[in-house]
Amino acid sequence: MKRHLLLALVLLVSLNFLIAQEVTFEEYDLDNGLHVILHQDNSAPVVTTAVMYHVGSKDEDPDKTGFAHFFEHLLFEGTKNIDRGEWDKIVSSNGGSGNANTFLDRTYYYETFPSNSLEVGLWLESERMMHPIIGEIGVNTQKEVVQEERRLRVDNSPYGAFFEQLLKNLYEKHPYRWGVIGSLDHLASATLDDFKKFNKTYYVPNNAVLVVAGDIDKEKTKKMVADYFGPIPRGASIDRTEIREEPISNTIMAKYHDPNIQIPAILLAYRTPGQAERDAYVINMISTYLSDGESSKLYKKLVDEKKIALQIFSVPIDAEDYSSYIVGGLPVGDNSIQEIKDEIDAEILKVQTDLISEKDYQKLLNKFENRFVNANSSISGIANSLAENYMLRDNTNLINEELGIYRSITREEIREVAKKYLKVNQRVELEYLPEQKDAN
Amino acid sequence: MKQYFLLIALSFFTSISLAQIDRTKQPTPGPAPEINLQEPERFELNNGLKVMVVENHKLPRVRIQLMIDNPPIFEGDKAGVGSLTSSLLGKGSTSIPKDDFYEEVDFLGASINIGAQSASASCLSKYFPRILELMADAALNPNFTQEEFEKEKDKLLTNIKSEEKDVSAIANRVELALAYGKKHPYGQITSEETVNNVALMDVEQHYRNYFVPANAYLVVIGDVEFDNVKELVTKAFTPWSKAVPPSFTYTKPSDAQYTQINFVDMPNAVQSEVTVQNITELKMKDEDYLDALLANRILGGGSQARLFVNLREDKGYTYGAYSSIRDNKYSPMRFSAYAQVRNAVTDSSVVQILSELDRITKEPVSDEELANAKAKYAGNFVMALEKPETVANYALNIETEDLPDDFYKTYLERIEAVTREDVQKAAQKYFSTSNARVVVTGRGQDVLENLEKVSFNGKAVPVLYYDKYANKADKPNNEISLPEDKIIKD
Repeated sequence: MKRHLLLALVLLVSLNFLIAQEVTFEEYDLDNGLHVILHQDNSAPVVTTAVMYHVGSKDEDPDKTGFAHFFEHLLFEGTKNIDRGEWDKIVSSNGGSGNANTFLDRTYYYETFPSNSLEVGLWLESERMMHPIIGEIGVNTQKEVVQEERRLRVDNSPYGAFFEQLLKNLYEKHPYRWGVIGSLDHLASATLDDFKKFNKTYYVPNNAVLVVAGDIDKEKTKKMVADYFGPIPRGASIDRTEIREEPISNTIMAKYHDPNIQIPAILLAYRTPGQAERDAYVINMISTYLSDGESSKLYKKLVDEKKIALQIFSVPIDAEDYSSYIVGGLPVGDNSIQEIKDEIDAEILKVQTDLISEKDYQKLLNKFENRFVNANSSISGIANSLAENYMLRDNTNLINEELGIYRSITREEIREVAKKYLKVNQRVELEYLPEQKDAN
Repeated sequence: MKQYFLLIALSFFTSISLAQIDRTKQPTPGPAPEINLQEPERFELNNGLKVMVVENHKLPRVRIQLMIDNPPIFEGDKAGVGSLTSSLLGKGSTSIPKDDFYEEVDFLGASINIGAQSASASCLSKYFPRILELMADAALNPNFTQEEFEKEKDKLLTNIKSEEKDVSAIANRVELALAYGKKHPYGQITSEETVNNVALMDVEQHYRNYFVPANAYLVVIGDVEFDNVKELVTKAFTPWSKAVPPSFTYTKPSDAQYTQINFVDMPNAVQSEVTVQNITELKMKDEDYLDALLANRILGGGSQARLFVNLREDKGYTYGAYSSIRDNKYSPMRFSAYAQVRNAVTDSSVVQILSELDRITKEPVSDEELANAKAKYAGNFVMALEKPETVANYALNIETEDLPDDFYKTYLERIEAVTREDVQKAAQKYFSTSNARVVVTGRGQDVLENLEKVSFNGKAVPVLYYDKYANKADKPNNEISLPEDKIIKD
């Protein structure tokens, strides 16, 4: 009897928990193909308006790279009804803030406002989609700005070139092989027509999702969405050719010399499944097991016990066609990158050979539960997750289902996935080194 | 009858909203949302620890923050001792070995961090009692060991070495040292030498001196009940012995005698770090505090501010140009206007930043600029209410910065009341073009020739040279120090 009561109590508690966590939303398409997601939460007077376009660096012509990121800049230069230089003024004079970011598969533009300026946000994003101005002045200015961005983030920044170097080695044919910021030469030689054509192809309602989240009234918002976005014409449908890579069968050895560093780094990169696939979730668990927290395997062994690493890290980088999983470290004092590599390999081999312990498995689930609760703590974060789950994982409701997926992954699956994707001969080994210099 | 009128009125509204929207004009925002400022609940322990609790049950999680509001500490020839103390804390306690501590915190999916004068933790609410207990134990009963000390020292030394070619890190270090002086807590430089002067004893001493409850505040935010928090916190923190940190004085930082360029040569730089700085004395309780914030906002507070619009959007010199004004109740602080710019326009950028400083002190800002800056502050204020910690931060500021109780209740009104004259006065008081220090960190071979020709308001701006540790240096001799010409192509 007592036990039953306890069980009932536990059920009640977990049910409560699930209700507290549920992110409710409504989604539909406009006639022009724009997908719309509305999330209403009136607990704070804040609203986010955001548009994600299904265009990233992988959609670029190999001879004209850097366009998607360039548009992240260009589409702030004004529209038919918004003069050049006015965009940011409008956002801030309404007390809001906004920005944009670009990655391999998508570009995301967003603003967050006090909720009484919702209509301003919708107007801005609809103007950007309907009739942006792509002109000489804007293009020439942003060409200079993007050059400085590259210098800041890559050329003048310690370890700033690592991702670009890894992509270059991980992919031979796939358009992930060039970095998001692309080639400065390509941008410099691109013409106004090139940019106009790119805009016409990708920045159309049928290639975008609009998210409106926060302190809204759903019915009024639907009406405004229809008013502002309804009149935008549908674009031509987009041909996407799927490019598959041959699996890596011999370890790819690479070296890069960075003039901004003193301590070398070793980076081991694996090509892993696209982010919508179940195995990508398994890789996330492996990554957490190896390097998240002071009791994680790699941190405990390399930093704490053997004291050979200054830093150790492992990061899954999600993308649509393939993800990348990067493991690496920086040696402390006189230790070598070879020692770090050997220790990493020994730990990965254990994951491939033995089942992780019951306790470590429970620890992983606890960590993912904690992340899940924290993931949806801001309106702007919820908007971003909704857009990304819809566009890149094809299931908007993953925002609620994600934890369930992690809970369904077994220890056996973890071992199998480690065996399948984390083989030494299937990876890139990048030695990221200080610039060699003759003593003066 | 009455009903009909209502219907007519309704249909009238409907027909308006069905009309074609006018997209040539910015839509008018609705009425401003109502603001509700919740107050945290409080209590105090006998040892002086003040506790604030903000209940917020939206998500099943809790955050705990301990802040010790001590004056800044000058570490002198043992610079690095604070950083090492911080690294050695949070590794278990005298009763829980490090590995068990890490394992338990990770197992609960939580995190705990202990700093030299702070602590924080976050967890799901179901684990709150245990995490609070672990955090308090690690903070109050640290187990300092020689082995961990040696390890953390090695890491700190490697980190210092790793910065040697990092242009931003060197620039930042030299800017601070030149602004505050190397004998001031905010200007001191942690070097290999000073770190090697630190022994485990010093760390223990540092902890005993400064990790004390006299100026301490504990904030608990999230899915908790006040009574329960009071009981648990009282139990966990009552053992903390009452004590006050030692106090000492240091030289007050002062401005350069005349506007000058201070140049640091970094042969690997592909951009120059340009910072124009001067010393300000600004406290949150000052009458003109909001005036100063608005002046900074208009000058360099974001992408529609003057520096960004001029240096990036108009000239394409940089990815971003900004300014920062800092308040502090203990010490005068640095005001800075800065950008990372390409080598070829280093001298022009210096002139442009100085000109913007000059303009905002000489001419009143426009009504539009002021209105936009006010709207931005008002918007940020409203949007910050989304975060439960805002309520705690406001209460903490009122307490630690000696502010009137209604500081945040009247915040929006006071922002609204600031005039163009107030902004100009604040700019004149807090921004300097006559005693500014222009710190440029970059590649001498590319930038020095033009930098030496810089003049401003009809006067030449002299260039003085410094090394990476802010010591006076000779002008770099490019012929000898830069044999390689292969780094830069464009």
